[in-house]
Amino acid sequence: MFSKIVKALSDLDREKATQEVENLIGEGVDPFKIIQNGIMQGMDLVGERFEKGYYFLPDLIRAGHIVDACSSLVKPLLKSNQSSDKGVIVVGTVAGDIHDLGKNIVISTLESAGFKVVDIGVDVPVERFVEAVRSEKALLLGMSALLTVTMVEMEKVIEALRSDSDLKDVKIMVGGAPLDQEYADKIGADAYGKDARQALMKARELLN
Amino acid sequence: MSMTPRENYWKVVNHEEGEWIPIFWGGTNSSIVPQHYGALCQELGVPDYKRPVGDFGTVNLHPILRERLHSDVELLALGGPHRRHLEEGLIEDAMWGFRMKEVGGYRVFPDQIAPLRHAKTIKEIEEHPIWPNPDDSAYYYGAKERAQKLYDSGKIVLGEASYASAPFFVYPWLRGMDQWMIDPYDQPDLYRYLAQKIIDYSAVILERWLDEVGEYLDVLCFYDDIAMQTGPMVSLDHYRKWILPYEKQLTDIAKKLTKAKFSIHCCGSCHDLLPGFIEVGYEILNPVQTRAKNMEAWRLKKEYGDSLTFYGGVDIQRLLPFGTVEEIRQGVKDLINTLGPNGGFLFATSHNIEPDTPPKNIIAMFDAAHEFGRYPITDK
Repeated sequence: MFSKIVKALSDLDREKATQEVENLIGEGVDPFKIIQNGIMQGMDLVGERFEKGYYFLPDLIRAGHIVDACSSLVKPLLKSNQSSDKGVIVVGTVAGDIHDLGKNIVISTLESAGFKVVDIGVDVPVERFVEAVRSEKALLLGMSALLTVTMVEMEKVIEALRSDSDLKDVKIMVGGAPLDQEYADKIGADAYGKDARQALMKARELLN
Repeated sequence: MSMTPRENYWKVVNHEEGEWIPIFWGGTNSSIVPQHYGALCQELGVPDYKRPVGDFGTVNLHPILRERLHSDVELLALGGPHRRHLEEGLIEDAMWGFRMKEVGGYRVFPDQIAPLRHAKTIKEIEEHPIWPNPDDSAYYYGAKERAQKLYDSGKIVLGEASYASAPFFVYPWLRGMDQWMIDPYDQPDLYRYLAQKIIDYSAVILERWLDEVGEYLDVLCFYDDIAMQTGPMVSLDHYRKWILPYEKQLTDIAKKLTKAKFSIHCCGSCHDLLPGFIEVGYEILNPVQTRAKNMEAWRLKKEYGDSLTFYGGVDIQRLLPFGTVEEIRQGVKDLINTLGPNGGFLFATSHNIEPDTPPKNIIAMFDAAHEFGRYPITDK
């Protein structure tokens, strides 16, 4: 039932993908399943092709746009609690760093997997991270950095969260070009996402 | 030392062993970020250093720094009209009208404020108020005299034509990075029009500048930056179809006006794009980010050691900021032993030195290059 969306999306055919979403909606298929089994599976395949080196950034961005177009057809039909029952994830790029390409790719990937993501933007100071995690009642915080100079900010945010009795159990995931698992472990993050696909896998693990 | 730095360079860049591995300290890349320049000057007791200039790396390195850190190069950069400071810390480029911002000491070019981000038609592109004026003498003022003077010093003259040699910096800065990547698919006519327009202006300025200085240059730098830590941003097919035909117009023009070798700056893991770079006519690769995927020095030397010269390579992401002096010396030695034999290696860092790098590490790195980089390279 969903293989046509999966194929159209993973082949980056926007017209076919949106047409197929409309067809399924017309047939009365559960909108959540359209996201889960159609759009998400298609995006998974795109991510897999990216990871294997068949797809490149332009393809990911195009896929992101197709996902947006498909999701905008389905989202109005979702019951409000369906998209957020996995918990809220707050995501931002740390202070001093304005790079957001990777962060945005991660966000679209998480959103298309049904997570509710609150994007708090770039150049985010420690206090703003803490405040957003608190006010959004986030279960997971994702932080991004592109520079060795700014990645040290992550440790400050982690310290601030860990020393707050209400927020110390919030899961923390980090990512960005200069990072690796070793650095993530060193600063006490719960997970390191090498790329958007891994970030999604880790988010699923952490929130299950 | 019997050869001049220039004579030595021409041997090395032609894949022969000269007397030593040239030390390339002093371009716009593989330099040091402006916000850390003062710390290095202070460490080395440079008394009267000026405010550093440069969007990414410091371009006005003090002569004492060049001397003390064994630099073999002198920089000759294209001039240009002055930039405008707008509100909220924005700076507007006077050549192309893109906008930048300083965040954490870095120049950044946010997609959200790219001036042509929302353009849908060629008419909207035409309405962009700022395009280069090739008749502006600011681009070429005093260039010939300065070039001649640098040439006479016997040092290697590194020519940087700034944003007249970086068409695919300019495109994303005008349109936004994401738009640049998908324009070929969503709006191919607009892509071709804008890319060609950037090339047309760049070509005239480059040509006039090279008319003045071409005969004095040893290296001419071009810029790309289409790779990430983990791989190229675009496929080799995309590169060949959407980027190469434009870049080649510039190298074809430059080839007629200078004997300099052409260097391409592309950060990150550009290994898979190297065949395309060679097709454009680039013979030197900078900054050789050896920590990125498939960019290990041994791999590059083995696969492209005969066709490319490597300008860069010392890891600035981990080794230089976080290594001990001993680790840095060993890292330099390993790099020289790998890339140095049979020429084809110009010693430099894998990008601009970052602010978290202890000055003593920087000094240790250059001293080690000076010490170990003597031909013949033997595993010392």
